[in-house]
Amino acid sequence: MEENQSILDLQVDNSAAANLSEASRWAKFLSIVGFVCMGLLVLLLLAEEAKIGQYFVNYVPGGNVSNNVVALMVVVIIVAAIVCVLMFFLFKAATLIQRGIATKNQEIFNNGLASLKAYFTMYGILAILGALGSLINFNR
Amino acid sequence: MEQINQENSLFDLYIDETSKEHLRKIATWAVVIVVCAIVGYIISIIKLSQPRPQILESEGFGVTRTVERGNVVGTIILILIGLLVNYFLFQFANFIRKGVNGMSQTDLNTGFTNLKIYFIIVGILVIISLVLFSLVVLVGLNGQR
Repeated sequence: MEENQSILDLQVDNSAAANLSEASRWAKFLSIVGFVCMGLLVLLLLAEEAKIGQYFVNYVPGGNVSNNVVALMVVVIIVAAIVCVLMFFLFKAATLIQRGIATKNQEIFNNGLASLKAYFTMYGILAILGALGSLINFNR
Repeated sequence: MEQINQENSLFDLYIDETSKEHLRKIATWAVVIVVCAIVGYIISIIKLSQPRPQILESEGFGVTRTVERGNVVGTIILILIGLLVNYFLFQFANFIRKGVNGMSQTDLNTGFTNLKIYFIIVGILVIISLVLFSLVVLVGLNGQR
């Protein structure tokens, strides 16, 4: 594949490699923080189940308390799972791009870009849903 | 010629057709993210400018007004930070698209620089948020004792 490349083609030169490596380092940090925060959120929710139930008794009149707590837990777990998938793509992208640059392996580098594409695609879909949600809320 | 070949051998990674396709799609989705964020900011600004019912005003302590002003300032600060972050994401998308379509190494490198700045700013914001959250938790725990 490399033989087909001309010297006039775009390259990952020293500047691009340095910038991509730095970006990957920060992206990896962000993804790890994302995993840890989501894990802590779920653990906190499970640990403070009784207090959350008490909150529903005090502040949300009517309705079944245990149903409300279960519904809240399901929502939080779904959100945490979505964020974890997003962070997984980011982590994979950062790791593969860093490894691709370090080993100068075109296939690994391209796989890293594919993961970064998956991350931005998922982030974009969530952003569209968020914007639609804001618009619907605004019209109410 | 020999020098060009030597320089070329330093960069064994190329932006081949597969990479270009990935980069084009990344740039497209990055622009979508920026547009959605700006729509959100516009909605927030419109909501802020709308008059709100002031239920507690008759109680005379001015608490509602202070809270409301705090909300306005907080929202404006968040929007400004969001605009800064999204500016770099947009610049990344813009330069990457220019670089890939126009075969410009300089634009491509500028695009990657903007991606780096974007991730650095988001990372620093996350660190600041974590520090603030930890402080709030510590203060809360001390208050309970």
